Amino acid sequence: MTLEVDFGPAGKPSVHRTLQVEKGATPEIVTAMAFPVEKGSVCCDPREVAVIDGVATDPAANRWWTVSLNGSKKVSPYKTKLKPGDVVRWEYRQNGQ
Amino acid sequence: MDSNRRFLSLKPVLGLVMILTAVPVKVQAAEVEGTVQLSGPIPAPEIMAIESKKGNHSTEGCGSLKKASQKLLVDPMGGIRNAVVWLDLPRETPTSKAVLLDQKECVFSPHVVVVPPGTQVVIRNSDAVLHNIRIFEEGKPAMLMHKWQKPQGSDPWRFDAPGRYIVRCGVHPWMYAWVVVLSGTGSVTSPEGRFTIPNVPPGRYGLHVWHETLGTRQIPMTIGEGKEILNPIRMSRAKNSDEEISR
Repeated sequence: MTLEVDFGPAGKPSVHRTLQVEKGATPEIVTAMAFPVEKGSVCCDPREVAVIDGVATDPAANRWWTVSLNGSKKVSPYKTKLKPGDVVRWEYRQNGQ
Repeated sequence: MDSNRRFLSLKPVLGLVMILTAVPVKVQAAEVEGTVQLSGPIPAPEIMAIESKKGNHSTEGCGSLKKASQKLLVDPMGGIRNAVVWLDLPRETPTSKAVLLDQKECVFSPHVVVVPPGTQVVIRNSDAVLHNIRIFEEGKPAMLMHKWQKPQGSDPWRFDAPGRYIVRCGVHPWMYAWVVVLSGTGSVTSPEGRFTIPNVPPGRYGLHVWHETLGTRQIPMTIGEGKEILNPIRMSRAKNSDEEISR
């Protein structure tokens, strides 16, 4: 599967990696294979990803991590089971305020 | 006999001394007034153009979708709105009265609330749309509170620890407010950048200013009795220096 991370306004270069993962792996597990990841209740559940490679969600600046699977936002970082060929993409985005 | 006579002659004087020492000297507390002003060019108000996606009804009932950004509001004279100004003077009687943080046309009102520790803030939805309340402490990504809020709903949250907290709506990403929990005595600046801090005993204090975009300043100052009108406190987009402020 492919892991893409766009650090956006954090200023780090984007990352594109191909990884071999075991059956049953989730986007959160795959991301933690490539980067230090911290979990926390960003929206609704303490299992959510709050920090990737030192870049944290920032509620004051309205900066958040969003994840997509094969272009779809209908994905749970800690529930969805990945299949061979899947593309997990994380984007660090800043909303206007 | 002589000593008795001497005591009787001193009696009125002793009485007067006792009266004078029994009356406490009343120190008049000051009312501190001032303004917070921007150094440099005055920025034009920033208007956000909010997109209403087809089939998405979350912005219906939000009023105009051209909303003023709350990040930095400066009046024509340079007065900075929504700066928090406080003295490192502990509050004597923290209020237990609840404070209202309302949502009207998908904007939090007021944008900045200053409360003492232990205050309950009631977050109300005066809109006809669903909101999603989320509370965070500044600098910490973990959420403290999360609640869906139907139209006309209201939910309380007690802020116990001093600090700065962000209240956001998960449905409308531009919506946010600050709850500043102060153990000191302070207030929020008006649209013209003015502030008043009442009941300040004479003494030497640190005066602190915080603004969400401009950062913080700390200024040592001496407060006397009566009304104290301070020189304008300048904030800039560059680093704000700490300096003595004159009156």
